[in-house]
Amino acid sequence: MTDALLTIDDVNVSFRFSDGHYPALNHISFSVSQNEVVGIVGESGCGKSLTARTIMGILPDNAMLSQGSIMFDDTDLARLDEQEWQAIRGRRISMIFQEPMTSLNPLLTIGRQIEEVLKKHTKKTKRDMKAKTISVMNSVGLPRAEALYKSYPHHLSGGMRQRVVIAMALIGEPDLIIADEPTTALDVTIQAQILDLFKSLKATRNMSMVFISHDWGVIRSVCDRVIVMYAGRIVEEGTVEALLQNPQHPYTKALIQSIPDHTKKGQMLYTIPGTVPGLKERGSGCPFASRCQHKQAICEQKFPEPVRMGEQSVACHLYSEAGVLE
Amino acid sequence: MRYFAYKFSSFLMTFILVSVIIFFVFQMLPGNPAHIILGLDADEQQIRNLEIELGLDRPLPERYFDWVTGIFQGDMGESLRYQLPVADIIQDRLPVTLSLTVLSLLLTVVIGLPLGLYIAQKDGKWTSIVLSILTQLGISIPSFWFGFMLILLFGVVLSLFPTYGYVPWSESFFGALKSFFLPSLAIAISNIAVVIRYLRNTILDQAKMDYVRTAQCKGLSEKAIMYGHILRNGLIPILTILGLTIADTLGGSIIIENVFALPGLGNLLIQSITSRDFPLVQTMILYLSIIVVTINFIVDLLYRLVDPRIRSKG
Repeated sequence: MTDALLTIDDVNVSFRFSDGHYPALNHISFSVSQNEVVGIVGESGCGKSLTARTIMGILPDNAMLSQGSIMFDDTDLARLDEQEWQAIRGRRISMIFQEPMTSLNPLLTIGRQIEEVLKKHTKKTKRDMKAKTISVMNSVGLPRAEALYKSYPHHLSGGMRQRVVIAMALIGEPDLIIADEPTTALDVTIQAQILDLFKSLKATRNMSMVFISHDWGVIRSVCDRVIVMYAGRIVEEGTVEALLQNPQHPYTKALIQSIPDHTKKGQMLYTIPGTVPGLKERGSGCPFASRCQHKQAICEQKFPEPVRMGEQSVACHLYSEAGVLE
Repeated sequence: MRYFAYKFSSFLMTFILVSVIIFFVFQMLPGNPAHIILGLDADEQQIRNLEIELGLDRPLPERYFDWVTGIFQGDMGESLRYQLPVADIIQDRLPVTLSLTVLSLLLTVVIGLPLGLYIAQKDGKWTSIVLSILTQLGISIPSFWFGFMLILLFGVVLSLFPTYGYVPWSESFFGALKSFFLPSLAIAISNIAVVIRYLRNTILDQAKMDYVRTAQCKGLSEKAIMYGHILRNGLIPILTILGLTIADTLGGSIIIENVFALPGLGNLLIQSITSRDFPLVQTMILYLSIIVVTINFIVDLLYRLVDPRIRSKG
């Protein structure tokens, strides 16, 4: 892929605790092309949000990027200093969060909070900034933008606040938007509205996105490709259709099997036994091994190399052995 | 408007409640003012005559009513001990106590806020340990000890400040400032310690909030996030703390006035309680409570200024 906007190559991120360093992201590699929406799915604690924060350069204080490169256009984000990062955040890459109720500052007006992006990255006049802010507010479906401009976050509903956060992410006209579970905290009807907004933005703005979710329905409606993460590793990757129709990795299969739908009405919903291993319980093998029905001896020793299979790529010994056998 | 009507009525209620409590509590205190004025040798008849003269023989509710209506008419009665109008005596003393209160509040804000902010940004294991010891000391050591130490250091050893008495503001601004500086600082130290502690904690708490992450993602610098977002949110609890310290400051000034030999209300209050000078004591405490209520009202207004959520509740 030559037109990749973002190429993450072999990234490791680890957390520092009093008793040592623990890897939280292992050998993460993927890319996002122009006008492509890449989804990331996985259970809580699999490293989805940490991946987003790594791309944004806002890792928690005790986490650090220990290896790998994050090529964005021609810049390696992993080598930027804080000041260079600040020039990119909000202007070239922006982020949308899960918690619309808390991600706005309660003491500042909506207008001021959206406008802040322009204040930081452009040299527009006050009047121009306001006009631009109002037009972006209109474009994300915020009604009565003039009045809302002067109101405070507590006047707004969750859905409206999420639109404000989206307006904030769009106003700098970034090349890439990272959306971390942007619809999870919203009511189902509002969720559908926000998803529609994302779809129309993708169509009209030619925008690239990384879309994090644990909801396959959401992923299916907005993403082109999807990455399945488990305990800090990418286990499978491919087009949304390929993964949904023909999942290869036992974890992906289990995830898809546990999606509720009307054909399963009246049956017990499938759940994956066990839980994601904690940060300190991960060895060198496949982290899913302890929950996997197809576990082999090698699974606990070594994490498999990803294997390409048509539209997708899988990291599982079930397939790497097949490759070795020829 | 409804807000101000509400505030005014609660102000009035406080006034009535405080006046009732003050009046009846002092009537319950043992010790007859007539006895104290005439001394031990006075005979029954003399005491009786003085009681009638002072109006002490009339029933309590009647006397309370007279006192309160008098205050609304600007007549606060006469001091039993000084035989002078209470209003005049208080007017002489009030500027001293008000100067101490205002100046120490100012010192608390001017020293406490920047220091707390600075320390919050320099967060580390050692700073936080040293800081918590220092602030704990600042909070627990009584203000009069700081008073003595300040007198010793700046007054006696360095001779930079006067150690007792004061210069009125009308006479010389800098002279007055100089004379009120040490006692105000002595009162302010523990408040400064409290402010530093709270400000640091709230700033560290606020820095973990989601809106800070949002601000980071806009590309704002750390400084812009601190001053444009975190500090504003951090000031809300600090305002509460400052409001609470006002009562402390007034209480502190009673003791500090004695340490620095300042003729303020606190000094007068102690004297008039020992001499059972009821009209004077009652009015003074009423004054002090009005000051506290007024300052709390100002704090409340500041709240509304900072926090739009309170404003829209009305």
